[in-house]
Amino acid sequence: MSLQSRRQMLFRTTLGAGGLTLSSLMPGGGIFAASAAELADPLAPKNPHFAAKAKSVIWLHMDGAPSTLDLFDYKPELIRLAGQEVPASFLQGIKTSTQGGVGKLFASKREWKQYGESGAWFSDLVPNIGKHADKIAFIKDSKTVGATHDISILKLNTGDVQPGRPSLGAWVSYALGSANPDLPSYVVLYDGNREPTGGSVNWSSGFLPAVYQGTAFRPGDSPIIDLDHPELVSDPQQREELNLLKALNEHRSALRPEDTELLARSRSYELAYRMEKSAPEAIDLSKETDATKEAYGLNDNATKGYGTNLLRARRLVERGVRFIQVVSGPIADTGGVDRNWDAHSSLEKNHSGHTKAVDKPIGALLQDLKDRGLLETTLVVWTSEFGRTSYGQSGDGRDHNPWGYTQWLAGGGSKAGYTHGATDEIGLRSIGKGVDTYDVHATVLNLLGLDHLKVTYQRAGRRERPTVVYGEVVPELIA
Amino acid sequence: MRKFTMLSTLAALLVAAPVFAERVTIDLKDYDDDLMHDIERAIKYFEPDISGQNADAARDDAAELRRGFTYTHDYFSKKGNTQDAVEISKQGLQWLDTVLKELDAENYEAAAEGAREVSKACRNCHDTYKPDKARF
Repeated sequence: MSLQSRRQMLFRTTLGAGGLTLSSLMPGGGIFAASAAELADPLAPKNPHFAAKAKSVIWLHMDGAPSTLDLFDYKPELIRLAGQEVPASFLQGIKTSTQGGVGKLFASKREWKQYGESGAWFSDLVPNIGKHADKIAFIKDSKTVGATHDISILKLNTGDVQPGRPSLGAWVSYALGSANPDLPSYVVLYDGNREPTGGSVNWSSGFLPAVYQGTAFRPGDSPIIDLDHPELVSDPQQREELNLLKALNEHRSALRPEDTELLARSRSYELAYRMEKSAPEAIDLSKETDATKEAYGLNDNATKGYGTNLLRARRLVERGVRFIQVVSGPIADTGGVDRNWDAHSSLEKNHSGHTKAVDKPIGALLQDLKDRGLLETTLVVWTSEFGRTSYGQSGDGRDHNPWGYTQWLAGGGSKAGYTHGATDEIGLRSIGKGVDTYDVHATVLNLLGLDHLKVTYQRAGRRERPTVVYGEVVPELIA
Repeated sequence: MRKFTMLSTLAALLVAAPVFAERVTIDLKDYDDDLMHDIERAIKYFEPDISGQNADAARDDAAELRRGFTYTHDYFSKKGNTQDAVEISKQGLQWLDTVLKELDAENYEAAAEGAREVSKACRNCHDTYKPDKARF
């Protein structure tokens, strides 16, 4: 997939506005697509269904699926049984790997410690996140379906295992509009030298109008391709061109006031023009203090990439961006090959490297949001497509585990210092009902003041919602 | 009298024919995955069709789902020692009846609630009887 350029964004925004116009002509018209003003500006701010606890979401996707058994889910029994076959009772009702079968139970060389008044356990790989134990609501009975990365990442982000549905961020943009007319309401940040697994389908607007898709900011100083106006066109010249275009469009609009698509197109030109100023400023870290940069790890090559993205995420939250999807980047493995968290082998080296890249910046983000009074209204979601197995693979790695793993929330009205659910004694499978990705989506939407059953969009005679036909809010996760 | 009995029997068979037609021969060694794929598609359309007040399409979905629950009921009844799956299938069929009644009364919200219960029935069964692999 090519990177998002300003021209592409303009084109898609225009298409999106057209799509919304069409949708209004369909029965039902979508619960939010009602007024002419909203049709003219599909990103106009909209009211939630009830009082929102969170205004923004920072969605931290750990690409490749970390072993939460080695980060947050302390299992003394797994350590005790390490090296033995998995007791049959733990394998009942699950289908395990067909490639290499089930290895012996595997325990990494971790040291574990309890943090905060909540006493939550953290391994020595994540001491900086551990310092914020009392801000975190753990979901230790996470589960999902599908267990290849592309499929499960798609489900994590869009709710379905097949492409075509909108991502959660797109639904949020659709339901709430933009709180900042000068910036996209849904931004994707990733680091490393290539796009995340699965690419743009994971921030797609699916069947929603394209205006709601995520805008990917590239790593580096120039986040959006072609954002700067051409060298040979001065700023006043560009302004004059846009003024002429605007005048012509307004003339035409006056003749055909029902043509909301034209009005939307004019607005998208203006948004792009404003973004030439606002986007670089939003991600320009030069005005951040040295102490802040150091806290996020910008002075260390190991943490610089991810830390930069998290600092940018905080700045985007300050500027009213609704949904920021941050995808962790790959790092070099033992063979010098860039690899994400997908540690089928060499888990020790893989996870040491990845936690070194993200632990300090995430700790800094939580502290920074708290210090600035933003944590109350900013929901941080630490998530992955699935977890990893208690049994080993290739001697020193772990396989994919969709049956039981940990995710967590912090801030934004989530219940601080709380642990929801658990996995079994060896950390292989969630106990009881479990929390599926649909339930996480329903809960995130609830914290944003949205009833997931009432965020709907009419297409082809069907009224679709973000959680497909599933999903239940997990009330225990809400403060 | 004999003629009457024959005609009555024939009439009874004709009335019962659709019911029997929904039944298929169960082969315990070959679970009908194609049917289940159809059902998984239908369940994703069912509630959205109802919420979109597309009653005809919802009734088509319901018929497809009924086929699935009936097959699942028969499969697990024959398999034995899987009473929970049989019960879930029955509940699914009951919820389908509820949804169809609400659709007839044009109570779309109540019908959508019923459809969500049908989705739950599918998931409840899958949690136990359609375990996901760690890898494909």
